[in-house]
Amino acid sequence: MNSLLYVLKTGYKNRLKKAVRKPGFYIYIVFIGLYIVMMYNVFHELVVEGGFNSPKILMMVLTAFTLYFTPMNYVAYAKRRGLTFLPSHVHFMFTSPVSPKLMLLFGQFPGQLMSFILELIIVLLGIFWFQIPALTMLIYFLAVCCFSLVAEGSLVVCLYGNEFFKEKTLIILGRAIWLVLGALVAVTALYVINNGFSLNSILSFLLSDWICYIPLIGWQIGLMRLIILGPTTATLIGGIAYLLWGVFLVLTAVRMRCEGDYYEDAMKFADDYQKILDTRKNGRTYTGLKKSRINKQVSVAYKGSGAKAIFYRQLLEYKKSRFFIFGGQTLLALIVAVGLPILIYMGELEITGIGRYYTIFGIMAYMYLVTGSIPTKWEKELENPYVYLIPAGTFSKMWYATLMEHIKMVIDTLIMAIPYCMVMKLPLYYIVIIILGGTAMKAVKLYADTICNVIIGNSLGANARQLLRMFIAFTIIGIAIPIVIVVHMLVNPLVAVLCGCLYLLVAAAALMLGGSHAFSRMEMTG
Amino acid sequence: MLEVQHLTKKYGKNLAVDDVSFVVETGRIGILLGPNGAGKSTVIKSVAGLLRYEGGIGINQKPSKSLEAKRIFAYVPEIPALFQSLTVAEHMEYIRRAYNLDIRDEEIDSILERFELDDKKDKLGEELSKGMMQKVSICCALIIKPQVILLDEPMVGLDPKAIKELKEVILELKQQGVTILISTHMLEMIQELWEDVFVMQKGRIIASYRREDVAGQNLDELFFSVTEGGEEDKSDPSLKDGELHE
Repeated sequence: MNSLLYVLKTGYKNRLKKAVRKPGFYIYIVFIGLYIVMMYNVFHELVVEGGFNSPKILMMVLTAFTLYFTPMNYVAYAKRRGLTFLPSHVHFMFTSPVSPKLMLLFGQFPGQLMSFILELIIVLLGIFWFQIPALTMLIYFLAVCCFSLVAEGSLVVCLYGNEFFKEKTLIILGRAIWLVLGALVAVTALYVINNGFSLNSILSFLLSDWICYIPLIGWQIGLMRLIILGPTTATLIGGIAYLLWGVFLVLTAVRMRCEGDYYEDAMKFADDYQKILDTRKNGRTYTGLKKSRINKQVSVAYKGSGAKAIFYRQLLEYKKSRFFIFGGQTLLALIVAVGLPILIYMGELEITGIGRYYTIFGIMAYMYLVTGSIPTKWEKELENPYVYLIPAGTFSKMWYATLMEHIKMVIDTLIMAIPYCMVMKLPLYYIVIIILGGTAMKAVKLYADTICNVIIGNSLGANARQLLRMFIAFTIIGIAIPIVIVVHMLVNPLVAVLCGCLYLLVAAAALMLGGSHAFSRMEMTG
Repeated sequence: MLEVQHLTKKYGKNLAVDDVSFVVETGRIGILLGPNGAGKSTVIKSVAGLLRYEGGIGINQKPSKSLEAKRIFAYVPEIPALFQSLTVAEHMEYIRRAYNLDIRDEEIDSILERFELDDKKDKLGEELSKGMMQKVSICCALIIKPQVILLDEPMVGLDPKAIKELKEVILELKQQGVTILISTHMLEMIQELWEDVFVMQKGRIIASYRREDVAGQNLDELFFSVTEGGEEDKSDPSLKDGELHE
C-alpha cells in the first residue's frame, strides 16, 4: 500500500513540477478557470434563476446519471476493462509482493478520484443551489458518496479479480447488464412516446417508485432519494437493500481468493491504453484500427515502382481491413445521404432557392473540419522510415501517400451528392461540382495537417499543432466564402460554386507542394 | 530453486506452451533457449505470475503467485516499461517500499554506478533511452537481493560495457546462491554463463543439457543439432524432475 501511494503521490508531484515549467500550463489554467466561471454562470442562470432549483430536480438529474451511466461501469468491470493500468504497472507492480486486490483499487483510483470530486460538487450544489440543508448533504456525502466508493471498489475486486467464475460467465454477465440497460432505454423511450417530452413527464418518470426496486442501480437511487427527498416505502426498501448489498460486497471482496489471474487481461489492456496515450500525445484520436484487420488471404499487384509502392501497400492494408477503405466518415456520409432527404420529406427541414446550391457545402465543411480528426493509414506514412528511403521525389511520395485518401473523399462525397441532387432537383452535372468541392475541402484539411508538421514539427507540442492545423484549414476554407459571395452577386450561384471549388483546389495543391517537404527528413514529423 | 511442472498455456485456441517441465536448482544458471516464437517469453511471464496457466510453478517451494514467493523473486522483462513520471532514484525508492527492503542508499548508489546510471538519478523514466531503461530495470531487480531472478532477453538494447557488467553480476549472483533463469535466443551472449540449458521449440522443451554432462561441446552445436535435426525429446530426465535434485 505504502509503495502504491508513493507512486501516485510522486507521479502527480513530478507531473505538476514539469507542467509549471511550461508557459502553456498557465494559459491552460486561465482557460479552465474561465470555462468554470462561464459554466457556473450559465448553469446558475438556468437552474437558480430559471426556477429549476428544487431538490426534486437534483434528484431527477442524479437518477438519470445513475440509471444510464452506472451499468456501463459494471459491464466494463465484468469484461475486465475500465481500470487504468499501464505497462509500468505490469512491469513493477504486478510482479511485486503487492496484493492483487490492492492493485485493483490502485487501478481504479483515477476514476474514483473523479467520482469523488463530482460528488463533492454535487454536495456543494445541493446546499447552495438546491436549498437542501447542509446536514442532509453531509449525510448524503457519507452514505452515498463515501459508501458508494467503498462498495464500487469492492465490486471491482469481486468482478475483475474473481477467480471463481469462468470467462464465459463474465461475458454472459456483461451482456445481461447491457440487456438491462437496453430495457431501461426502451422503457424510457416508450414512456416519452406515450406521455410526451416535458419536464413534468420526465420528472414523474425518473421519480417513479419502481426505479428503487431495480437491483443495484435502483437500490442506490433509493438511498439517494431516501436522504434527499425523505422516506417512502420504496426508498426505504431500496436504501436498505443498497446498504446491505454494499456490506455484502465488502465482505465478499475481503474474503475472496484473488491471486492475480486478472493480470493477463490487465496486461493486454495496459498495452492498448499505452497506445491510446501515445496517440493522444501526438494530437490524434485512437481508433484501434488493427482490430478490424481480419482478412489475410488477399494480395495486390504492384503496378509501377518508386512512390507508387506506397499507394499499393496502403491498398493491400485496406483490402485486409474488414470495411476496406470505408470508415467513420463514410458512415457519416451515409447518415447525411439518408437523413437529409428524410428530414426534407417530413417537412422538418426546408431548403429552397439559392440555398439548394450551398447547403451541401456547409454540411461537408462541418463534417470534414470538425469531425475529420480520425487518423487514417496515411498519417502513419510520416512515421515510417522506409517511406523516406524510397528513391522518389517528395512531391511524388506525398501524392501517392495521400491518393487513397482522395479516393475515399470522392466516394464519401458521391454518397451524399447523388441523393442531395435528386432531392434538390439539381442538374446531374452538379454532382461532379459537389465532388470537386468536397474533395478539395478535405484535401485542404489533410494538407494543412502536413504543413503544420513542416512548420513547427515537435517544437510546440500536440495541442498547439492541432490548433494551428485548425486555424490554417478554417482560414483557407473560410476565404472561399467571400469569393463565392462576390461571384454569386456578379454572375450566378453555379459559377460562384465553381470558382470556390477552383480556389480550394489551387489552395490544396499549394499546401500539398509545401507539405511534401515533410517527406524530406523524418525528424520533422511528430 | 525454480520448479516448473507440466506448464501449459493457451491463447484462445493457440497452444503457446505445451506441458513444459524443468527445474533450475538453487545457485545455478538456467537458460531457456529457443528461436523466436518458441514460447520462451510465455514461460517467463507465467513464472512471473503475469499469465493464467495450467500446471504448477514453485519458487523455493512456494507457489509462484504467492506474496511470499514474490518477495524473494525478481523479474527483468524483455521490454522495460518505466514509470514515466518517476525519476531513476524514485524507481529505486518504490522498489525499496514495495519489497520492504533493508538496503542502504550507498548500496543502491553502487549498483547504479556499476551500470553508469549514477548521473541519471534525477532523470524521469520518459526521458531515458531504451538501453537506459533496461539498465534501470536490471538495477531495480538487483536491489531486491532476490533468491530467484528471471531475465527475459536481458542483453537486448544494452551497450557492450553494460553487457559485460551484467554477465559479471550474474556470476556474482550465482556465487551468492541465487537461482537464475535467462531466456534468450542469443547463443553467443550466454556461452560463458550457462549451466543448465532448456531448448524450446514450438512450445515444447525438445532438449535439456547440463554443462558438466556435455563438457567440451559447443552450445551452438548442441542447439542446432536439436533444432535442425528433428524434434525427438533429448531432455535430460534429471532436469525435468525436481525430486531428483533434493
